Amino acid sequence: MTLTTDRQRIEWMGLRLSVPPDWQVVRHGIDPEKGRLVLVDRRRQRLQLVWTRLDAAPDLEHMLDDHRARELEHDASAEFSPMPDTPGWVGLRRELDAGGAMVRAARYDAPTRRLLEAVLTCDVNDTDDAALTRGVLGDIKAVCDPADARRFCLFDLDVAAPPHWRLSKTQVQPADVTFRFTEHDGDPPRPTRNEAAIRRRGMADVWDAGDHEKLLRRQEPDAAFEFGPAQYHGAPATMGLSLEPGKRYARLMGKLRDRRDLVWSSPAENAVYQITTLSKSGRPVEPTAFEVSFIRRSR
Amino acid sequence: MKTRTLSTAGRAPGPIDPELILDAVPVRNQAVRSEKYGEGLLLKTPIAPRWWMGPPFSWLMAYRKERGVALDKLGAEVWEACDGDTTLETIIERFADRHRIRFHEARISVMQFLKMLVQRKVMAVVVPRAAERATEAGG
Repeated sequence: MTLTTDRQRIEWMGLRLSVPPDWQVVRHGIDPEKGRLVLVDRRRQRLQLVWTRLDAAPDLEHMLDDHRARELEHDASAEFSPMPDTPGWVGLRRELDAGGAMVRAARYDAPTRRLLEAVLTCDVNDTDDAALTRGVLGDIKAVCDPADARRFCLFDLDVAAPPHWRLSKTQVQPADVTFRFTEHDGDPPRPTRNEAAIRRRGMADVWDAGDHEKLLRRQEPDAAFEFGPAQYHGAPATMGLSLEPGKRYARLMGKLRDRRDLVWSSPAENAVYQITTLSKSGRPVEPTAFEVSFIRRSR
Repeated sequence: MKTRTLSTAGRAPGPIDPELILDAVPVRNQAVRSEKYGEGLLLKTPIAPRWWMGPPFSWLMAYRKERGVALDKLGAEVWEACDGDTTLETIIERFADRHRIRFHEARISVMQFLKMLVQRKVMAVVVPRAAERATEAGG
């Protein structure tokens, strides 16, 4: 495979990268201190990107020497060569017995105090693995501290959260992805009771009859919705106002949060999007505070 | 084409290299007959007759001769795509294109569905000989 202009952009925990269109994330972390992204193509793992919070820059050369020594312990015939020159990265390239090569590289990003470690597998069919290495690793940018990350672009869902909101949970299933966010306030920042969930469901031609009120009622049968027409970026949408489901005494004491649901279809994507916010009574968080855009199709 | 069949019958086959599974070809059980069932299909598999299913017991009690598997619209679509020639990769690719989902999402859905069909013995997955050799070479 060669890198073409048709690239897939990923933005996750303050990291931005672009990869070949048929690569797909199969493992992802949401911990700002340490986490990883693992990408595969149709047949094998291609990239593992690990981030670790470190207050000081480590000795990258020493790390690589340790790695080389460990590899040689397991396989004395392993051959290493310098990785293709990629600004900011130091690494090793190892030829694989089955063909292709594996590049292990590391970089310390001082502004965000993060160590980035990448393991890139170059397939035997890659016509120019040096270009692939330079293209993929060279495009990895640490754009902000992971705790301050607002933009999350993965699994066909591209969300920009408002300030003070952090990604707290993800649920990823085939054609059904949800990112959950929690608002943080104060110093040090602590989670407030405000929450939001952005959900994208694909294959809408199979299950969506276009009745979003029915969809919300089925999803939350205990909620008493008030529905009204709305718009999201020009698309006709349905807004549902309700209280979060809960015990009667909690409702009487005003402990239940305001719930707002904004649902719209994207026929071009064959998908249905939904933004749900839960906020303190009387101080609603509008779903439109979250910017949701569509990812360019890349299969 | 010499093949190895991954069915639940007989000895359990060794693990298949996940890199090669996309080259495999799903093949329908020829004894299965299908009929329309709403938007989907009803697959009927014959049940092998046992000695106690014959007379005189069958005079007293009716035994079913077929086992049914109902498929919804999506299941029927995948069943129709399994024509005995098309590889898993192509089936998944077409499914993904038709429903505008990613290849990897389609792969999970289609593979889970095919696994269920194999377990119910209405389908077998055939790994081409070359792939099998590569698997053996890889240990």
